Amino acid sequence: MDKKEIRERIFRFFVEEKKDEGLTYDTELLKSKHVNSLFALQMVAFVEKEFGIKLKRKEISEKNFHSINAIADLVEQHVAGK
Amino acid sequence: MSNNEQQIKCVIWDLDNTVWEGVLSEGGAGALLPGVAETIRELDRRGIVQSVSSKNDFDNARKQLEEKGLWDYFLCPQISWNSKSEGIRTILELLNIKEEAAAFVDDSAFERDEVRFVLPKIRAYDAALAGSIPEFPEFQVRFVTEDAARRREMYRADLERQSAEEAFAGSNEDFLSTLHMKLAIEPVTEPALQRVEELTIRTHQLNSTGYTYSYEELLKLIRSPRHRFYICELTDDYGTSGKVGLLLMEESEEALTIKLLIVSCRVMTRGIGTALLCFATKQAAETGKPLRAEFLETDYNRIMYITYKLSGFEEIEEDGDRVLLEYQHAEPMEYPEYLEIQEGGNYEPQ
Repeated sequence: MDKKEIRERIFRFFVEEKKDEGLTYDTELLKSKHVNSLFALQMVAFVEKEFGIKLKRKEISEKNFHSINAIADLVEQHVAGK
Repeated sequence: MSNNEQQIKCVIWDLDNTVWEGVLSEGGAGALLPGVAETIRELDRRGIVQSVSSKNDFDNARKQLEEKGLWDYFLCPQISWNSKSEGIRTILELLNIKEEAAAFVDDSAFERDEVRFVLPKIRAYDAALAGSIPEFPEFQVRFVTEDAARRREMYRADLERQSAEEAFAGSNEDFLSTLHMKLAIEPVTEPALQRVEELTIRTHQLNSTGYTYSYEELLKLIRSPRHRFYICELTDDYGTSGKVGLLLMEESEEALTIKLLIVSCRVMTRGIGTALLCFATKQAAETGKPLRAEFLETDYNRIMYITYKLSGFEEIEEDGDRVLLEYQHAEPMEYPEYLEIQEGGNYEPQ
């Protein structure tokens, strides 16, 4: 699985959940407009389930989740390390 | 609290030979079984919500319950020919209640086993015990708060809100902005302490530390000059959701530290945790001190940890399951646009 595919799968999840047509790979996801507690949990759970990875506590951070590109980088590191 | 001690928030009833005598689809429903109506009314009074999972024809069963004066007590009853476990799962999802906090009452050992097989943490009771249920420890509440007395109505409003959201074409945020939500954040005063205690006991998922405090300890906290203790009430076009959140902070020379952040699971999708964190960042900015937050990992509260981490908090100390987080940004957070915040004036110890 390459980064392009990872990114597309994450993108599809957000489009489905957020119904935001202007969404891009670089859209800021963590502005309060986008995140409530339940969605934050769903987002982390989606990433773990979709890619079969388990995130460490420290990896759940603004830096790693602020955009689709950032999440894809995080996933790529996990998938590559397998 | 261990599983067995966890308070029951929801009781789900079978109907045939549990609520009434006989089998409705085979010869009809007889009289109510002894003690059942009294138990249902008493649980309702305590703020324990109730529903039905029964294999029956929906309209016939509804008619029976209406005639017997019990229909209004049940939220989202699941009456169909599907398995009872499936009905229960639907109810718990709709009410956002965990199986650990639910009970099922049925006269059939086979049905109780079927439900326990699918939902191993639910507590199942033989219908013969129906009249004694209010005496069992897991059904006790220390006080009947104003919120408890209104709980059935608040859950019903939640269900209406949920179906409106399902019918809504836009995103969750767009839907929330149609509700005209107002969040009133006020210092905790003595009359609110029973609800404070109830929230700490009832809330497991959106609870940052799982600390519980006795009434006397809570009294000390609201009188303490070092502590700032807030409670918030949420209202919207559907009515009030009641007192749904708590924020306890302690001020020291070096920092303002969140000791407790609790949000009722009923309002999990409505941005209340984020709003309380935002309020805390603004308070910290006024003191000119960093904002820290204690977090203690439990079996249920990963969602709270994720909320902190994705709101700009990072670990500064770690000791096993106990973590100290600190807010990293220079600017306070901004309130969600769909919430109107009413702050209850300057903080004065009681």
